[in-house]
Amino acid sequence: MTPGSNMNPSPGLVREVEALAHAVCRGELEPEQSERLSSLLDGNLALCHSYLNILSLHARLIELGDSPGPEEVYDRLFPPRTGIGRLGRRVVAVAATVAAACLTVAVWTFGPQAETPVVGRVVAVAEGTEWAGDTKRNGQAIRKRDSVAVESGFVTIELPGDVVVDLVGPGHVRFDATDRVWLKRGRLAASVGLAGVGFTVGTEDADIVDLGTAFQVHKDFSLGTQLRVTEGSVQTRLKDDAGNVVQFLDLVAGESARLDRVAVVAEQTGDLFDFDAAFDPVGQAKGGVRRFTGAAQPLSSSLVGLDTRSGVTNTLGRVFVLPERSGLVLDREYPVETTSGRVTIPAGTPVDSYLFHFDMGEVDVITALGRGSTTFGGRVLAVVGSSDGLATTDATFANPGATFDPAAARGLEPDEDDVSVSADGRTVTFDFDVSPPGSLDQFRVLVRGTKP
Amino acid sequence: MNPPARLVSEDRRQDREGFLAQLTRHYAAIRRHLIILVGDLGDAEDLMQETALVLWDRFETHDPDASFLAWAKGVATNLARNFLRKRYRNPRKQVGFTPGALASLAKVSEGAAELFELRLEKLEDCLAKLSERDRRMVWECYGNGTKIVAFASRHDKSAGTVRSRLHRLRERLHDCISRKMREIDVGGLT
Repeated sequence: MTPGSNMNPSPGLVREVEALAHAVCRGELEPEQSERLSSLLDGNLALCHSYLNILSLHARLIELGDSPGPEEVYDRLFPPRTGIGRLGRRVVAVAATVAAACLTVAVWTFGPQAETPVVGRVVAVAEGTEWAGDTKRNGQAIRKRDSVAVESGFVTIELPGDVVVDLVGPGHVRFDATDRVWLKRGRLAASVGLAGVGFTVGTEDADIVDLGTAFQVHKDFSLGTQLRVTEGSVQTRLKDDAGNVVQFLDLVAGESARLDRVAVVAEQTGDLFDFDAAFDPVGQAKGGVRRFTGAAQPLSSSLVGLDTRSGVTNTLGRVFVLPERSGLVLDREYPVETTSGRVTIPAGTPVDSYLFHFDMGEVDVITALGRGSTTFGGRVLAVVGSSDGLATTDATFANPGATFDPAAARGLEPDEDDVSVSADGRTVTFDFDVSPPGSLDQFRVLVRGTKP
Repeated sequence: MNPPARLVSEDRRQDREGFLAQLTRHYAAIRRHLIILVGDLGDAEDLMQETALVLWDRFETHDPDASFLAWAKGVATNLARNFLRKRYRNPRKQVGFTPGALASLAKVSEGAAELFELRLEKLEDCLAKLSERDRRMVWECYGNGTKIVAFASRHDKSAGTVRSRLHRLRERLHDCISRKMREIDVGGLT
């Protein structure tokens, strides 16, 4: 009779098996312990059950901490180089043959040696964003299978088809293709143009397929995937453990849902998650800006209300773009001095305004700094660059409670600073030089509003 | 008469598409099955490669109306058993089992699958009780040495500290699940 042959093992034997199982999970089982474990399990189903309880938990936790997407699966099964472990050259040779054969399949069209295709680019990084992985910067290309992870703040990525994805910290997303991302956890908002219909956000629980819309997703381990549609409609596809679709649920603007693979739930709900609190700050920080490049940067929500008096906040070479009024409808003609002469904005025009703020504190030498651009959703009506022009427009467009230093030379210096508007009227490009002693530069951009 | 070469090529292409689609869809479930059998992620990944090659070699014999996952798990189980048997005969072995132990494990694994699933449902509740930081640690690096090192570096800790913490968390989660299972009384097999 083996030590473990009793079908109702003593608590001591159960504890011993559990301790050995934990040692297996740690990779620390000694040969003599392995023999002991084997003898305990041989013929004793209750002890086998205790052992498998822990190993199945271990396997599930590995799945949570290391869940490869479809293309990563391919790389793991058919690694591109030798040195892949126990199987050695035989596997490499056969795997290479299989991998080569698979190159003919459209879905796997790129080989491991080929440059990974670009699927998108970073168009906004909020000031103060904390990264949980590699740092990203404005304009950086996002390649197929790149992951982006933030602890706090937000990052915006633009994909083909007029798809704009905001990842809000804490969150982790992987870009699997130009029309598909995988949200491992956290908060993601997607805005999808007509050309991007079919864009899909996958999670462990479900696929969320866009049908021409804007939606917000929160993936939380305990509550599964929660979704709110803000415009248009989406189709959700609940998945089972094997990734098979088991249920469809269509949603339209204003509807929310919870999708949970483990509980096999796909149901409309009220908002279990506070989407407003998670995503409103992103909208407030970006306003109607579509894209930031170079030194241009939105603020994270915690910095809204920044003190813009001279020398108070060093922007460290960045140019902060601060949304002010949104959809302010002018009740009379509004004449304004701009960098290209006097302009009169007709009465009734909805206007969004933005203050561009750059301050390096005191400097010793003339330095070229602060180059970048900002692309708006609407047409630029005016760029106000002089200190007098800024002071005049403060009353109408500045944020309530904003503090400006009346004595400071806030505006642009015509000889040092260059601001221009693109031919399509939507992009403002700037190039600042700063000269001693102060370095404050501000200008205000008035844009035709999208929300009258 | 042999079919034209173009048609043969098209059939082969469709086979490969079908095989890759099935394998990708069931990858997680097969890998989880292997981890339960062999314990170590690296060994499971190696066996997963070997399983994929065997499945590929035999794909033409697989009945398209039968479950791919059940077939794949059967192949994976056989490969894992051979692996563990060889390990047991190896004097430098780590985890290895006798044929008798392997037979008992297989019997329980198949017979109590629903109970294991039920325990994993309780895992959700138990994870929710962990601190945000501990949950994040599990999500970000459990079982992956490279990610553990990266996580440790980001949080100014040693990789050993993170690894120990993860093992303690597994033990806590196991205790929590067992408590919850006792609450619903599943016949003393928890």
